[in-house]
Amino acid sequence: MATQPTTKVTEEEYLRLERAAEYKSEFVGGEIFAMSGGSLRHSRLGVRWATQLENKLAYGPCSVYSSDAKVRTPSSGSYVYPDVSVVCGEAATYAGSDDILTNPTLVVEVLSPSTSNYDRGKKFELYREIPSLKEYVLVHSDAVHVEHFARQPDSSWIFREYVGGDSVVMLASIDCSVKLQTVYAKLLD
Amino acid sequence: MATQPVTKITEEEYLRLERAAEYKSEFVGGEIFAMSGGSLTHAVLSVNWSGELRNKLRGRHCIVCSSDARVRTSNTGSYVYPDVSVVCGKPVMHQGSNDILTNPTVVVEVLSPSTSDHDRGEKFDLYREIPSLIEYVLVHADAVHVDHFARQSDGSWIFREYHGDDSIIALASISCNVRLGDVYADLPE
Repeated sequence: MATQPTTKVTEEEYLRLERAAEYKSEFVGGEIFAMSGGSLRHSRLGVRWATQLENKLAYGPCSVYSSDAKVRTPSSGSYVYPDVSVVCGEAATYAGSDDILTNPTLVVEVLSPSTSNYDRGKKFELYREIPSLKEYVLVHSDAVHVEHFARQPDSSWIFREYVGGDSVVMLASIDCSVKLQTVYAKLLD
Repeated sequence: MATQPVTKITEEEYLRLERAAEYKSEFVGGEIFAMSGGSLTHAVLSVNWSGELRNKLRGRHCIVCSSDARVRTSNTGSYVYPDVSVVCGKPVMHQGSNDILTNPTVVVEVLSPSTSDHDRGEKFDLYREIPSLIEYVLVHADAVHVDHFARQSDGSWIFREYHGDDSIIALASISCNVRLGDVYADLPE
C-alpha cells in the first residue's frame, strides 16, 4: 500500500536504494512511495489468488510471481509491485537484472480502502503502458467482488464486474477460470 | 471537487440542507462532501464540452445540463453533480422533484489531480448504478487525453483512450463525434 511520497530521484537511484531497503517502495513520476503492509484479509486474498493461479498453471508455459516481483512500466519507467503477476512464456527482465519483470501477461491487485481508487485510476494507467499485459484483475477485500479489464486487439479494454460466490472470472489470456467462492471462502465472515 | 466529509445523515436531511446551501455538496454513503471550485482550465473544459455537445444535439431530443444538475444514483441513493450530463428523451426526476435527475445517458467529468483517481474509481462505481447511463467520459485537464467507458448490452463496458488533437471520440449513444482539438482549444496557459 503506497503511502507518503518522499523525494524525486532517478531510476538508478531508486533501484540502488530499493535493493538495499528493508521495506518495499514503488517508484512513480520520479517519486518513491513506501508501501505499508495491508490488512490480514488483503494478505490472505493475495495468497488465495496466487494459489489458484499456480495450481492451474503449474507445468504449463505460465509462471506465477508473488508481490516480491518488481515490474517496470516502459513509457514512464515506473516500478510497481503487483500483488500477483503472471508471465506466459519466458520472463523478460529489465537491463539484464534478475529482479525486474517487464512482461507480465496478467496482474492481480487486491484492493484496500486506501488504494481502491488509485488502483483503478493512476495504477491502471501505469499497467496499460506494458504491451504484454492482457488482463488486469482488481479484487475487493470488503465484498465478494472482482473487477476485470481485458485488453482487446484494437487497444480497447473490456471491463466486467463479478459479484457473488457463484460468479466465475474468465481469464482468457491464461486460459483459466476462477470461481469467486474458491478465493473468498470464509474470508468475509 | 469533493473535500473533507462532514457527518452521516439521511437523503432527506441532505436535500433539505442542500437546497438551502450556498455551495454544492455531493452525498455518498450517508456523508456530505462539499465541492470546492476547480481550476480555470477545469471550468473552461466543462464549457467547451457542454458547448460542443449542445451544438451537435440541437433539435435531436437530447438536452445538455451544466454542473448545476443534481443526479441521484438508484442503488445507494447517492447524489452527485457531473460536470456535464446529457439526457435523451424525457428527463425522469426523482419523486416528482424538479431538481433531481435520475436518467442521464452520458456523463462527462473533467478530471483534476485531486479527483482523477476518485472519478475513475468510486465515482464510476456510482455512475454504473444508473441504468440509463451508457457512456462515461473522463476529460484530463493536464493533457489532450480523454478516457471513455461505453456500456454494452451484456453489462460489460468498453474502455477506450483518446490522445491528441486529431483524435475523435465517438459517443454512439447520442450519435456525436467530438474531435479532441475542438474541445481542448483556447485553454488558459
